[in-house]
Amino acid sequence: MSSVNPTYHHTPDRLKTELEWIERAKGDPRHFAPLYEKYHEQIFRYIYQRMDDPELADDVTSQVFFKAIKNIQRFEFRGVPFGSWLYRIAKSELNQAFRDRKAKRTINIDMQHVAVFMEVFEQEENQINLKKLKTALVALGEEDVQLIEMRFFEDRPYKEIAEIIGITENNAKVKTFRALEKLKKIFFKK
Amino acid sequence: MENRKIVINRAKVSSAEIEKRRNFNRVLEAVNAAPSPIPTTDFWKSIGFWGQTGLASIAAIALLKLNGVNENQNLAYDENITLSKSISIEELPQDTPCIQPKISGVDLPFETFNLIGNNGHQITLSDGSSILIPAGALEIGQEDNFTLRARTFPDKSSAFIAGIPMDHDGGAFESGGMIELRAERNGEIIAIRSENPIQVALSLTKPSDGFQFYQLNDLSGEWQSYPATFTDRSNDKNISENANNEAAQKLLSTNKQIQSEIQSIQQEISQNPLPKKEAYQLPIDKDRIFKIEYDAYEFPELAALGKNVEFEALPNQPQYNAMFEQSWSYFDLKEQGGSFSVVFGDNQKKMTLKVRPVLKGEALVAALSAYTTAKQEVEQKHRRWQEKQKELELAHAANEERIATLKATQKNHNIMLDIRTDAQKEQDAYLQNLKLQHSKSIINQQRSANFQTSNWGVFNVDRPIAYPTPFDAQTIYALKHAVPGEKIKEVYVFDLEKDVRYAFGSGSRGIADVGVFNNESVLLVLLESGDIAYKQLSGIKDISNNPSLQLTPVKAHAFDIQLLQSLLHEGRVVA
Repeated sequence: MSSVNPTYHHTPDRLKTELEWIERAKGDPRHFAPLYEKYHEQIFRYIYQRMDDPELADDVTSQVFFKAIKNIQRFEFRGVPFGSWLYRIAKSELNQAFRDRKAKRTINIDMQHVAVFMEVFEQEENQINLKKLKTALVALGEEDVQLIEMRFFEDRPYKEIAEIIGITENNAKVKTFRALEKLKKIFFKK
Repeated sequence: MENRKIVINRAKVSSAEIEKRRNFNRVLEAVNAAPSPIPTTDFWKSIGFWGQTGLASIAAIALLKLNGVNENQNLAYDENITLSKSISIEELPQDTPCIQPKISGVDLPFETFNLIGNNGHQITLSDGSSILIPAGALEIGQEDNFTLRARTFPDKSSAFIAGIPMDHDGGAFESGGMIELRAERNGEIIAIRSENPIQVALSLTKPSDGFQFYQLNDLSGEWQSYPATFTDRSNDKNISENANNEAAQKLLSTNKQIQSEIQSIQQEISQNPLPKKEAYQLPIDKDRIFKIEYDAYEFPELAALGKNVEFEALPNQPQYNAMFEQSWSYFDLKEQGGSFSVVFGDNQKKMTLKVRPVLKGEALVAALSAYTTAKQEVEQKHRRWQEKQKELELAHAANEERIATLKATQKNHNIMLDIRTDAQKEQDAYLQNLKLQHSKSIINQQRSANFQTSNWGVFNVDRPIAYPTPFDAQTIYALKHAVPGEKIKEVYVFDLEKDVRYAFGSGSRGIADVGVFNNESVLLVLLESGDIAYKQLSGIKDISNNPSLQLTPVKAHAFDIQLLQSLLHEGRVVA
């Protein structure tokens, strides 16, 4: 999936380099530049995936980095990549944007994902079933939608999902499975 | 309360586009402009802050004296926010991801039919197309009301305005007729039972020769072949209302023909009998053969047979034995009409014996060989005829059996008809009438494509026409700058001679691929602003290598289907 940055999980060397950038950024915001360069695209894609306006997505992305720089002093490396910290800011900023009614919560689906769901649900790929899937996604709880989005629409590994949400990998698997079951239940509900 | 919006197959944003948005300095300026600690007035939370106005105000904001601590400095906040939601189905059932009107606010209207019940409906559209919804075809209750929407696309204008994708197999579609069908109840699409599909007779705008029938995959936006029959290609108009009866009649007629063929074979056999030994002067009963002397000059026909000629007494002559038990003083060979007889006599009496000449010796061997060959030939013919006759007799018997079955089915049906209640009889008559109206509608149409479906959607009689060669870079440059101050989003070339539209910038072909054939055409451009511009071309010379290319601009609100139709010389009247 193009929205997933393949460098989210790093080799020890790259992680070390990144930690050096973070330490320098703590001393001077201008040294945040390589981190911005590195994570800008994936944060923008994460936000735009959940919004319908690229300009608003651009603005929210800027807010995320603004807040990251302002709060970089608080960041402590505890084995979780810097990217997951940014995702958590992004998630928070998105929610703020939705609350302020500045942006509309959007779920973007490719037809290939629809095909996967229809296969899982053992249903024919047609207009009626697409409508049912859309209705089910609208009715699903936000947390479940996020899990479905990250796992099935963005193809993120469970480890990354767990780090973004702040739960264990195993817990992410269980929660995602339950979210899928809920979606299925709503889909087949008359 | 927030609603969620579901978007299918949104255009992908490229990494290059995202990179254009990358601006670290902008963020850094905001960070520098913001006082530390960050104030409680969450000015940066405002999305507008990151717009032009907000950025222009950074310097001014820096001057503001603000106090307090940012409540959001703990970045693990807001984890448990759950958006309130309501189920919002914004799109009407007829809206599909791949069918979006090209001009904002301009769409081709549907003909709408508010129908009640699931007991069968027949609808005739304004262009003569007919839709037959059989009883029980829809997954709704017997008394439920529902809305059927249908629209036909008789020309290029209507297909363009509605936003129907018209590319297939690397070419652009020339349409011979197109229809879109949708049905809903309470905002939900109604399913059609696959075992009981609806039947449609789509009125065609041109002869169907060379055209194929397609259905649009609403989800992928691609056209797929779909089965249909065309009334202008065969006897599809002759729709039998009684299949059993028609089949039985056909079988009876076939059997009559079979009977006639059998008779012909029998006649052939009778006219080609096996050769007789007598014709070859071959002996049949050696005990009845005897030799007599005759004058070869008196019987030249016997002389022609050679010297080795004897005579055989014809069978069933009781006097034969008596004649040979006594002595005769004379005998006399006689010939009359090709038949021979021998008269034996003495002074007291005479007796006559019918005979025929037979061969012997080498002549007999040659005659026997000729006879055997001739016999085998005829026998072979007989065998062939008899085999054919047997086949025909079996086919005849099988048809008889089928006719008997059909008659029995009909009889059962009649019995069932007789035991129907009055309500059932009324319903059956109603359905029969619907079918009849549908059939009449097909017959009344000059030509139509007839199909059945258990899916709503868009169905099309079409053939792909190849795209023209792209212009050179200079012409494309002139086209891109033909509307000063405006950016071109999509380009459409309506070829009035090939009766097709070519699309650039919306599908697989970009603006750089624009080209026209040397035909009368209309170049229509959709601008980023939402407005439209066009140019009527009498041929390729009007655009190719024309550095001063100018297009006529039209504001979106002033554009409608009538304007497009007048440009394309099409005359549809839209309600």
